[in-house]
Amino acid sequence: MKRSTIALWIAVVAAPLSALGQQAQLRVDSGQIRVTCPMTVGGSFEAKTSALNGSLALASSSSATYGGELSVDLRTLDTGIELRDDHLRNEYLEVGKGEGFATAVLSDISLGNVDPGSVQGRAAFTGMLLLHGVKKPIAGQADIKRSAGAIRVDAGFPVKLADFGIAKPQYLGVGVKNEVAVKVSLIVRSESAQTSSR
Amino acid sequence: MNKTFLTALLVVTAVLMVGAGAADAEPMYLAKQYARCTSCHYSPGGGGLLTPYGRGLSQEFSTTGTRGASGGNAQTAEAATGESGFLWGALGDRLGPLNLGVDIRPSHLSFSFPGGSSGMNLLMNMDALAAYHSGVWTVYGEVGRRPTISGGGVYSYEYWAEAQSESGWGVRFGRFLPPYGVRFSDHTDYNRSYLGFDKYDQVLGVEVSHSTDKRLIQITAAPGGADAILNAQANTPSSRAFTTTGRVQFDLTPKTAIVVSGLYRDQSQTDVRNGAAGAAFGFAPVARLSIWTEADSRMRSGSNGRSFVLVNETSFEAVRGVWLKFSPQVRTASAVNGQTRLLFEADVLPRTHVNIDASFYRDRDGTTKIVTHTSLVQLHLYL
Repeated sequence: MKRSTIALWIAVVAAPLSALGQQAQLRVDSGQIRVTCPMTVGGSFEAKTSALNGSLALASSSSATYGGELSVDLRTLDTGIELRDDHLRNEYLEVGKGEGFATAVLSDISLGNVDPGSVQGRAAFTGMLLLHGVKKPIAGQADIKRSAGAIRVDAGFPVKLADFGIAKPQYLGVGVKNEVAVKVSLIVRSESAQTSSR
Repeated sequence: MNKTFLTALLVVTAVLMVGAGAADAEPMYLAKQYARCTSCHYSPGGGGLLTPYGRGLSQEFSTTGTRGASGGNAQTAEAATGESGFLWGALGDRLGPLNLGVDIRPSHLSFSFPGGSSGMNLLMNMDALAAYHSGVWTVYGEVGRRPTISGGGVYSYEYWAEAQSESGWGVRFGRFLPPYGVRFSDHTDYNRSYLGFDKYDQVLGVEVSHSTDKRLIQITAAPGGADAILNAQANTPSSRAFTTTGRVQFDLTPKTAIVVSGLYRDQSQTDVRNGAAGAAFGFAPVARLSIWTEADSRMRSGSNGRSFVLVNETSFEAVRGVWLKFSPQVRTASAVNGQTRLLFEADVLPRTHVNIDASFYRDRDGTTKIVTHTSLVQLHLYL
């Protein structure tokens, strides 16, 4: 392999690999949220959306703590049944009440005292979730994979509906249990990488 | 084979094909993220009277459904009202925790075989169903016509009481169809009719169950206090025998499930000791498509030995409230060459309480090589 080719390979791969550890802003390139809602009669259903946006930037050089935020448009949550969508959005999440209700926002994300420049694989994380107008801390597990030009994150965390002031979902005798599971899959790219790829 | 005998045999078979139980279970709704029967039915095994939630969904899933209008406060609604309610909601919420239903199915059946064809109009079902639910308790019963072949008259083929705790434990006792495999809506499907889970194969027994978000376990034991009512008359040999079934459902995702089942039946006056074991896999790769496949092995004492049943049901919602189904089925046996079936079905749900179902069966007997074609059109009124 020619020396110039090797140099190019290093430039392409190494830049995003170190993105989590630099001041560069990471912007969501694509993502999906899946919320698994266990039902009181057994089984569960899933609400999902791809309306995930936002950007993150390293807030500390000594730990993997990020400023910025990730936001989800809750008006786009889809369960596959219109009536269930209507109840979910309007009766329980009350998306019509305003900005703090129409979107869920995850901020103050921290992976703890790990090297932000090299963290990958499974890692615990914490953050603050604004949902239904209530901001509460959340904690979960993330799986971080780095590849050329991008970082893929698959994260999950539980949410207790009562903690966020969401009424107990119930319709004609069938309800959703208090704790739902949120799974986030997203691909982030550094702003510079995004710009150069356009 | 004598043509008259063949005709008689086919007529009897055709008659037995009809008369399905009320409001059949519909595994196709896995595509809508409903992996459990109890979302819509009182019976943990599926089928029978719809719960208020099931009635509500029947309106949502129809071609002229509510299109997302909640029609009231979702948090406080307890009974299906309006069009989806009993008798179109004429009684309002005056019945309280008592839920009623009426199931009527006028049908037309036609069939053809080498050298002949025939047809008939039938009133397959005329049943009244009731459930009383309060706290952890549900009391359930159905009353309908006993098949003429079994003496006629009014008969209750399913009645039971169940306690279901919030922790997921449940106990049911009474007469019911023991849970096994996937209860497809067509009771003549090979995994139902050949394994002893046809429309009149309820047993008098006890079921213990445990349900979590991702798993359902159902164990039934029946000491032989009831049997198929088709041979339940005093002067005929009884098929009463100790029967036990076990069924475990794993919900891998809201749209993916595995079901593992087992059956044991002791010797009776009409049959040798037998059992079955099977596994089913269902998944919904896209929002309007569900695919279920069940494979079972049936073991019998004596010379008949082992046979296998394989049933697939692929359901596709072509447009809202219109489902198209395709179901290839195979049954093998050591003593005969087995049977194959291709079932095509269109299920149209124009409004709540009204279903129109058209089915076409192509059955081939491996021994006689005879191919029969059966068409069944049902108007299903569920009031």
